[in-house]
Parts: sequence; C-alpha cells; structure tokens
Amino acid sequence: MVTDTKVNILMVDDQPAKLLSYEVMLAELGENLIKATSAKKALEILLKTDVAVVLMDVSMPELDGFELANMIRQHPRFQRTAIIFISAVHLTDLDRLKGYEHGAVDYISVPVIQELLRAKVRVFAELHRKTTQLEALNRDLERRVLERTEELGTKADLLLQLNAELISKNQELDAIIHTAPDIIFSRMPDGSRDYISDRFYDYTGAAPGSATGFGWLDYVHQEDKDQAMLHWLRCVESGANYEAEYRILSAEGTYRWFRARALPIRDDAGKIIKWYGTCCDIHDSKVLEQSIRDSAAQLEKMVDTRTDELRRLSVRLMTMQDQERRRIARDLHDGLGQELAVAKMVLDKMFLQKPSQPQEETWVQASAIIDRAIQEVRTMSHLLHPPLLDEVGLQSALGWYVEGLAKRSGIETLLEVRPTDFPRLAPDIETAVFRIVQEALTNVYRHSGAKKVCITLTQKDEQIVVAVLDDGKGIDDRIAELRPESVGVGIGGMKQRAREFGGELRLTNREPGTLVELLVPTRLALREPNGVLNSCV
Amino acid sequence: MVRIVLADDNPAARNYLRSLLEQQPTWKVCYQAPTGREALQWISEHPPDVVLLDFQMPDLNGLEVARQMALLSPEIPILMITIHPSKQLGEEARKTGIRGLCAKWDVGSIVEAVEALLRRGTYFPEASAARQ
Repeated sequence: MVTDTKVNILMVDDQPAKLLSYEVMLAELGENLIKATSAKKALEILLKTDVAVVLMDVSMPELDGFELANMIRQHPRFQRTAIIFISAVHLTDLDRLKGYEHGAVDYISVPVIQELLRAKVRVFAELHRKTTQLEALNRDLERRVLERTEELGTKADLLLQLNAELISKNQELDAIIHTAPDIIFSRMPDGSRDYISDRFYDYTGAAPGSATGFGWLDYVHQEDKDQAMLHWLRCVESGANYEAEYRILSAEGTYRWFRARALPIRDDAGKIIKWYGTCCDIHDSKVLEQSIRDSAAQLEKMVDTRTDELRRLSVRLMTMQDQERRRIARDLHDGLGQELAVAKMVLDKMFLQKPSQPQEETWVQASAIIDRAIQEVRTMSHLLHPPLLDEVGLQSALGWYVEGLAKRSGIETLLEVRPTDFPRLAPDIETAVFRIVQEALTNVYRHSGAKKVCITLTQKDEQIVVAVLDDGKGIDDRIAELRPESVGVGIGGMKQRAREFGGELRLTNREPGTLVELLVPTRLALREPNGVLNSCV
Repeated sequence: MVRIVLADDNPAARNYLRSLLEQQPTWKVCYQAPTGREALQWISEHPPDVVLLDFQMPDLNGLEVARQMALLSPEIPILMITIHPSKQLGEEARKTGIRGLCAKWDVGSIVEAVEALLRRGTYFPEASAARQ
C-alpha cells in the first residue's frame, strides 16, 4: 500500500485559544490541520479543500454549529465529511440525536480528553483516507473494466466477422461438393472411407450415410475390386498419391468406369492425417477410347487386306507379263524365226546348186542379212523367254543365261548345281526362279561393279536354295532390309514372287559383295507327278 | 537306200529339208511327221536309218521323242535341228542319246551331220554352239 497521504482536518472554533489547543492535541496524528475561526471561514475552506474531518464547536456566535452542519451536509460534496461536534453543552441524548439529525457524526464533550479526541479524529481521518483510496481504486478499476470491455467488444466483433466468413466459406464448399460432377471423398489414415459426397449416393442409389469404412467396395466391379483395394492399401502405406480406374455399379444396375485420385494431407510432423480425393466418371471417354482402338485395329486389318490384294495383283501382273513374253517369244521363233531359217535354206540351197560368180556377192549379202535377222529373232526370243526353260528346265536355262552374261559383261561367272541332275520344278516356279536370278544378275551387271559372280542351285533336305553371290560393292542397308519404300521395282518384284509360291527372298551384305538367296520348300516346288510337260501357254 | 524320217511342225521347213536331203542320191525321206507323236508312231512300225527331229514341237519336243526312242529303238541315230542351238541344248541332247545337233538354217552342216551319223559318229559342232 502506498504511503498514506495526509488528510485535511478542519477545526472550527471562534476562540483561537481552543483552536490552538486542539492543534496541539492533534499534532501527533501527523495530518494537515486547518484552523477556522468562523463558520464562514470554515465554509470557504471547505469549498477549496478536500476536508476529511471537521471539528466544530457547537456554539459559535455567527452560525449555530447545527446550522453549519446542515449546510455542509446539504452540499453533495460534503455528504461524507465527518463532522465532530465539540460541545460543552447540549449533551443529552436528545441533543445528540438532534445533532445526528443535523449531520454530526460524533460528539466530544468539554473538557476534551485529548486521547479521545485523537482517537476519534484518527478514526475518521483514516476512514476518509481509506474511502478516498477506495474511490481512487474504484475509478481505476472502472477504467480498466471499461478498457477490457472495449477490447472484448472489438474481439467479439472480430469473432463474429470470422464466424460469418467461416459460414460463408462452408456454404461455398458445400455448394462445390454438391454441384461438382465428381464424387468427392475423404479417407482416414487407415484407409477407410470417412466422407463421401452426395454424388456417390445419387449415382449408386445407396442409402445416404452408408458405404463408409470399407463398404464402398461393395459397389466396385468384381473384376476390379481386388486390384483397386490392393493398390489403395499400398498407397496408404507408402503415402504416394493414389490414382486408379475401376467400375462402379449404378442405381440402374449398369457399371460405369471411374477414375479415383487421392492426395494425403499431413500434419507438421509429416504424418498423414487424412486423404482427400475425387472420383470422376470417365466411362464415356473410356468407351470412346476403346471404340477408337477398335476402329484403328479394323482399319489396320483393312489396310493389310488391301496390301495383300495389291501384292497378289502385282504378282498376277508379273505372271501375266511372263505369259505374254512367252507367247511373243514363241511367235517370234515359231513364225518369224522359222520363216527366216527356211528362207536362208532356200537361198543357200539355190546358190549352192548353181553357183555363179556374178551372183555370189548378192548371195553372200542376202545370206548375211538373213543370218543377222535370224540372230536378232533368236536373241529377242531368248531374252523374252528362253525356250530351254520350258523344254529342258531351269538348270539348262540358267546355264545358257549365265554363259551369255559372262560373254556380255566380262564378269567371271560360276554356276554350281547340286545334285548334278537337278529335278524339274513346277513350271511357274521355274519361270519365277529364272526371272529372279535374271533380275539379281542384271543388278550385279549394272550396279555392283563386281568382277566375279557365283550362282548356286542346290536341293538339300527340305529346301531348294538358289543363291547369287558377287564380289562387288554391296547394296544399301535399307535395301538389304527389304523395306518397301526403299526398294526398286526389281527387288520388290523378286520379293513378291518368292512369297507368292511359298518361298523367301533374302538380301545380305557380305562385304564384299551381296548375297541374294531364294529359299523354297521342296514339297512346294516339285513338278506334278504326271511328268509330261505341256508347254502350251 | 538311206531311209530318213523328218519331224518338224513347220511345213515349209519340212519341205525344204526334204528337198535338201533328197539332193543326196541315196537318201530318201520316207515320212514327214508334223508332230513328235506321229513320228514315234511311224518309227515303231517302220524303223528308218536316221531321224531328224525339230527341237520345239507342239506335243513332245525333240528331246522327249529322243528319250522314248532310246527306250524303243536305241540303235537309230537322231539328229536334232533347231533355231536355238546352244551348248546347254547340246549337253541335254547328248544325255537323251541324240547324236547330233544342228542349226536349222545351216544347210551345209545338216548334210554333214547326217553323213556323220550314218557313219555311227556324232555331230556337235562348237561353231554352231558358239552362236548364241
């Protein structure tokens, strides 16, 4: 408690001697003693000063003590001021009562006992002090209460505002959840479902509030159930983001594809406290995806069929080309060739029968002309379709062609046939093989710069192998791979023909040179048992 | 008399071959067959001294006729005549038992060849094989 402040004690008496004596008596109290010799002076002082106790002589000339007390009491400020009457007279109870009625607080009779006076004054002085202190504390308290109230008021306002915001945010969230087309869900860290949005119940027709925990699995398609659950549990353990697709049963009894995604929410320590996720209907796009794939597969099939058709067509063209050539070749030598041969015979015979000098030159010229014509016909016919091929067989025809090539090109050629009496093959195969070798050798002649070429025709085990190996510069890798866009008509044609009769054509870079191999299963290639060659076209 | 059978599907060729061969005093073409089969038929009934076969004929070609003759009448020498003489054809011809090969327009060598065959020889000239 703070050091006590001094209070003011007002002593009112018309006799200064008395005042003095009171002063002496009260000096010990240590309070502020103020003297007033008249009621009027006393009032003046009262108005100016905060007086704790008024010590008053009851009988004074100007103003009666009682009257003064009255006046004092009437003033609101002085309602509590202690007034002690000092009186020699008027000491009866009735008088005291009057005194109390007039506002006295206490009486002291004359002669004044100083201890008594001191005690009484002390009490009231103390009371006044305490009262003043109390008032001060009260005021302070009130001020503090006011401040606090204001603070609380502000806080309350803020709280209300936050609440309002929270409510509005909640409403927004609700709106989002309810209007979102996706099913929104949350799951506990153990993996069981905690919340599912209305969309789930709308779709499945399940009773609202059901299907929590692991009950949602009942609505997942039998085939997808296990995998979805397994994957989910793995994510729950590892904390990885979850994503899965599965079918969910609708209220109508059909299944639709959904894609579920969930993310874990972690606390400050990194532990997962909840999962939040969405489940999105992807059925239409999945069905579309599937139908696109189906269409693509169908398209591929169509393309394959078309390609096959085209291939067969190209092979047919080549076959027809062959037949045409054969026809022309035959016409050439059956018709033209024969005629020329006979013409030469006639001419020669004629001259030799009757040789005559002047006609010799003419004869020689004419004979030479016909000779050349015959040669041309033979060459053309051979190049179109060697008669040896039909009449004698592949081995002979190859022999003849290879020899011709050696002469034309200067390339060293070697033809090996095993077994040495190679069997006759089916006519169209012999023609195709001949043409393939012809094509391969033409390539060697035109492009390879080879010095040597080796042709082998072998029949071993289940296979007939025709091989052309040169020592030239080899072929482009792309052509070696027989990719359609990089081969010329020649090699493409070879490939096609081979495939058509069940054979296989291989091109390999041998470094040096190229190896062209044609493989045909023997059982496909051999001639029909009737053996007789019908060479009609 | 030397009896000769000719097989060739071209009538003009048959004609001139016959007239060429019959220039030789003792040679006589007793049958001209337009097809291989007909030639075989006649030969089996009337074996000649020498047979001239065209290589390319519609039913059986010269080689096939020769093969059949090798079974039935191997002693009769055969000369094959063709517009396409070649080494390969010569080899094939030899395999079937044919004793000679000639270019059709080469009148001189035809006569030579027949003479060689009548002497029990063969006639496979390199000269005609070289012309390809």
